[in-house]
Amino acid sequence: MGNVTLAVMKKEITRIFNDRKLLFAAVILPGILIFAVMQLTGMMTQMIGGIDDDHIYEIHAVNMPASIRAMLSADELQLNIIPATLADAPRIRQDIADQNTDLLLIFPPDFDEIVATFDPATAAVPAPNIEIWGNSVRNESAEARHIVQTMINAYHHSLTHRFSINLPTAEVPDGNFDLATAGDIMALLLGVMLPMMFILFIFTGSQALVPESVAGEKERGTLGTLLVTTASRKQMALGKVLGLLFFSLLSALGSFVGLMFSMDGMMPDTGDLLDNTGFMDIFSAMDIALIFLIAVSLSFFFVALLAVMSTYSKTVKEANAVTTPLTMVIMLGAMGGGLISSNSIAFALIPIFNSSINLTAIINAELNTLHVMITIGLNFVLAIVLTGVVAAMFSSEKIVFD
Amino acid sequence: MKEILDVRNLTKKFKLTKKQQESKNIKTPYFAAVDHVSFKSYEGEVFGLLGPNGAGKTTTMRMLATLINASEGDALVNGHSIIAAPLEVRRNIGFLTNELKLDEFFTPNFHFDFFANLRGIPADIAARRKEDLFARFGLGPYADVRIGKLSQGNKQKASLAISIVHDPAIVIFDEPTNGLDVVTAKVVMDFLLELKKSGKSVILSTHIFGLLENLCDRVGIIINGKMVACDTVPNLAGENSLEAMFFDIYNKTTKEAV
Ligand SMILES: Nc1ncnc2c1ncn2[C@@H]1O[C@H](COP(=O)(O)OP(=O)(O)O)[C@@H](O)[C@H]1O
Ligand SMILES: [Mg+2]
Repeated sequence: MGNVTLAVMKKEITRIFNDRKLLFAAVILPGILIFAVMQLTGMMTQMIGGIDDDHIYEIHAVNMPASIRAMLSADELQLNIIPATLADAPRIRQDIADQNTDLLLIFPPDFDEIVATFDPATAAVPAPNIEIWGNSVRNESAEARHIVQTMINAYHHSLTHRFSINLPTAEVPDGNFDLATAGDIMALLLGVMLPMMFILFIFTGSQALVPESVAGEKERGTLGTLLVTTASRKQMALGKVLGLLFFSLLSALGSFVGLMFSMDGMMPDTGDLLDNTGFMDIFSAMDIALIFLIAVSLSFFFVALLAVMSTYSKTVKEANAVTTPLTMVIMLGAMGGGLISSNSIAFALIPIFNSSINLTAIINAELNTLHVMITIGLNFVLAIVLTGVVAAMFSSEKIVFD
Repeated sequence: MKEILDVRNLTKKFKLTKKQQESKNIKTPYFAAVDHVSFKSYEGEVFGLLGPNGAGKTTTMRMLATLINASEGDALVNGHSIIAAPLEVRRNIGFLTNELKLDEFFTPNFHFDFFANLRGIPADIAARRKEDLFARFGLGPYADVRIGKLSQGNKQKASLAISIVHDPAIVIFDEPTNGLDVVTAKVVMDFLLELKKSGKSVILSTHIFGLLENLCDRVGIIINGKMVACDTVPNLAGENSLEAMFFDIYNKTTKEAV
């Protein structure tokens, strides 16, 4: 990485660590805000649609395998499992759509036998798919889906993905098993608000740091002092970006912790068993690793982008003026994933939007591996290219000495 | 005498915006801030660039320090071309101006180590140099005080010490006493005198005649980007003061231009 990179990075980190105001604004505040906003939204949804404590959820099941039945029959879950046949399915779906009943599960016949011998590595046929039909407008249905999906997800992970949930089928090519006719607040909350706030706060965390640091160096005349040395500009730019990235990551971590706590707090009261359900139960280690990678790559991208804009600006004020409007763009992109649900690879090529889609997908357990890999890769590539741009700008007399 | 600096037809053209063209009253979109300037200076000498505001002094020095590119011409700094070997040039110069500052948040100690590190100076050599320079500038008691908390004089001392971490052969100093209070200006004057005494080569720019008369061996007069005279101080001044001679040349040059 080079001596210069390290020295510049170390200096940057030391400086910000000792600037309490900046540290608070960039690192602590986003996490607190995310938690506060989610708490508030959570409270509002609970106020809007409460579910009776003693509500028994009606779960219609076609070909319910013994393994899943065992998992779902715990009394605390308050699930009433009603056996059904494929012929009943259309009627039940209508009932769900009309909000008269809660959930329909359709398993392939002999699910347990297939799963027991299924090997994703060698299988010629796709993994058996479970269809979960619900209605996200009806709170009881959304909650029933949440309970069932949480349980099945755990099973899914323990079986290392030997079956799938709600994959598109011939009859349901769009993979939409939600019979709701309008968006549900809870789904909106999880699918739109969370990714949006997560991405937005990573951005605002970086935005609190980068203009001050980069344009600030220009304005205070300390950048020129660096540039008269023999040190490589590429290394200088990289050191600067990496130093800032360190804090941007802390900021992302703050947001992540805020998110974790708010998800824990948002779990509605569903009996003893699920009372302890929190973040770590909803997301697998893989999910968390991916959220982390998205956060790292996105932070890197944001820091580099902001560094380019700040290097271009003459003063901190100017840098803030050009980077603040970007917040709106980021917000729109960050909301996109929850509003437009699609696994189209083309969407993976749109920065910010792609991260949002993937965060939503992780929350809804509908992640597309290729999509998330492209997204993370693209973030890193953009970040590195933009860091190169900063280095080039450091060498440009027009930008440094104009 | 060994040549330490050989400037040959050094030229800097700036592209002007429409607005700049109007305000400068120039018809062409290009304007030569430094126009085929040539001069030499020798080892151990203090060379002064004298000229009114906007004459092109800063631009010349920035080109010599390889901070901006020359449009034409070249300069050899201790034998290294600013065009072909900018890194070698930077290794050989210390560049100082009041626009280049130290980070208020860090201490002289930190800065010294940081810049020694950036310049790839071995730690033991850097430590010895730091001890020597801090002692010479009386910075010892302030070595661990943040720059932001230092008096202007001590701040300036720290800047001076740090600009020569790498023991450069030439020190280039743009407007050394500009905007400084008298006490700080004295710090800088003493520094320059000491550099001179120790046989270092110095290039400085100024529009202050006193500085030139007290310090400089040779003076180049630059007006509107052109070097109009360059010689030793006694040769330039003759019977008169440097000041009288300057205004004589200045009036002649600007009259010709009109
Ligand atoms: N980046 C630039 N773009 C356009 N014009 C410039 C630029 N830098 C300096 N100039 C112009 O070049 C001329 C010389 O400037 P400068 O070298 O700063 O003069 P001095 O240091 O002698 O006062 C001035 O007219 C100044 O306005
Ligand atoms: Mg000047």
